[in-house]
Amino acid sequence: MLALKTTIDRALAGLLIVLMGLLVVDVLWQVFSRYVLGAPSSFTEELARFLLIWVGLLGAAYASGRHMHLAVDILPGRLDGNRRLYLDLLIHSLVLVFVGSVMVYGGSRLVWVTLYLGQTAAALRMPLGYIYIVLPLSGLLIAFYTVLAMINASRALGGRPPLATDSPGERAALDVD
Amino acid sequence: MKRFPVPILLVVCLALMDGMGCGLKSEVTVVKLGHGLDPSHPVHQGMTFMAERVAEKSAGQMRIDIYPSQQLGTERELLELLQLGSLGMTKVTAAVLESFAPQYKAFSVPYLFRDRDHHFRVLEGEIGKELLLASQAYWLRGLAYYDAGSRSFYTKTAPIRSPADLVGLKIRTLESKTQVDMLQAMGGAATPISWGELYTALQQGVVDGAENNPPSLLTARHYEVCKFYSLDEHTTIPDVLLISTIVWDTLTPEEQGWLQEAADESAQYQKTLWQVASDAALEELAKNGVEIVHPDKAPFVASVQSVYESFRAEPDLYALIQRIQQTP
Repeated sequence: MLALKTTIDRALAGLLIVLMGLLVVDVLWQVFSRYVLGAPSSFTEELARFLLIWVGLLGAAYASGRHMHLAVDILPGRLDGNRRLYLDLLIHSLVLVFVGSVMVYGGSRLVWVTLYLGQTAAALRMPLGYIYIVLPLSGLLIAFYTVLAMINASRALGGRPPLATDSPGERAALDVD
Repeated sequence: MKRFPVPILLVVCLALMDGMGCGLKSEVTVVKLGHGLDPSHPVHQGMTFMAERVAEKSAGQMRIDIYPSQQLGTERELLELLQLGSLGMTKVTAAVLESFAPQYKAFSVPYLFRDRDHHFRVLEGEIGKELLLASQAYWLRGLAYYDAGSRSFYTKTAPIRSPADLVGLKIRTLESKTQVDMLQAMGGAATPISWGELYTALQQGVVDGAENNPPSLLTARHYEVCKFYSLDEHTTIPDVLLISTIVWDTLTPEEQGWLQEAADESAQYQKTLWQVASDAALEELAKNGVEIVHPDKAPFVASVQSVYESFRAEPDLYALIQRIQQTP
């Protein structure tokens, strides 16, 4: 599990870097073609929008793996020991229900319907379903990280050490924060 | 856990009551309609008229709830909601519909219709009905067309009297290949920008002009920046009223009949509304210092022949365009 998490983390970080790089190049090209070439490119705005969707949703998955999402921690801050762990389990299961029903189930249905009915992007002329694949993909990744966190919480309840830890060496290798 | 917090208790009670309320109202068929226009827009008024007619015809057994101003999403998002069956009805421009049902591309062809009468003869005739039903293959059933007028150029520095005046100008277009091709054929540089960002783009000189119908130019207040409106009327793209086939199939034949009749009546009613609104918009624009130019259309028509020829690559569409042009 630990090895799998590390692999997924690395792949996700790499993909995010590539997508972000593409986004920067795309927007620069848009400005360049509009002001310098005088022949504005018609696909750049749409591509930028799609890249932003991918960066946003995959970034959300990456952040959930690192426990970096925004949270209101008034209640967890006041609890300690097992109470805190039970609360964690409850929160994680709520996340799992949301991710499973909205992102994985709802997202897959959206992907299926758009691919089946063949909706295309206005400027890029590619099937929009391919863009929407990121929704169930991100959902599955968040579900994976959440299940991992739940396993760790229940292990801690039983007094056992956690499965996956962010070792200092690995943190340095991927360093983002 | 000594006391249960009162606010939470209240919320739970309200949620339960709300759920029960919905259960009680179920003998009235309710269809939700979402669209992106302002309630003051003539097309919205057309749809309100339809909702009233449905209520009258069904003696209150069927109701259409209208959610205007993009409350439920942009036009593209609304079409997706229809395909998923989450929303009943919507109204979108045929230009957006292109990405969903390719037949509607025909309406984006510049100077497709000879005049207003020809336009309505096609839409209300056989071809119009065929197109409305053809999109059922994409789970979208067309009910009626609404008049959305003709689009013309408006610019900042000088009027467009002939295609030659467009050379070197950056003009905002819809995000559609046909529109970009048309503008390039005329000689301008097409720049797709979203409608919401257009005002600033015009102000800062990102683009030199744009194109739209008179009421849109007025309501978006672009006339504050663009002082020349050249009525070349290059495209006449109608609005289409649609219902999700998933929702349509749940209606009884009687309800389907009421809805279709009401939609047809509202289309007739909206036609006159549009004409009034369009004339009023032009008057208002002139009052605000916009110079309105009526250029000769012939050179514009000649300049876009290459666009028309490019449709030969799509035989079905080309045949449809020819049928429209041959309609008396």
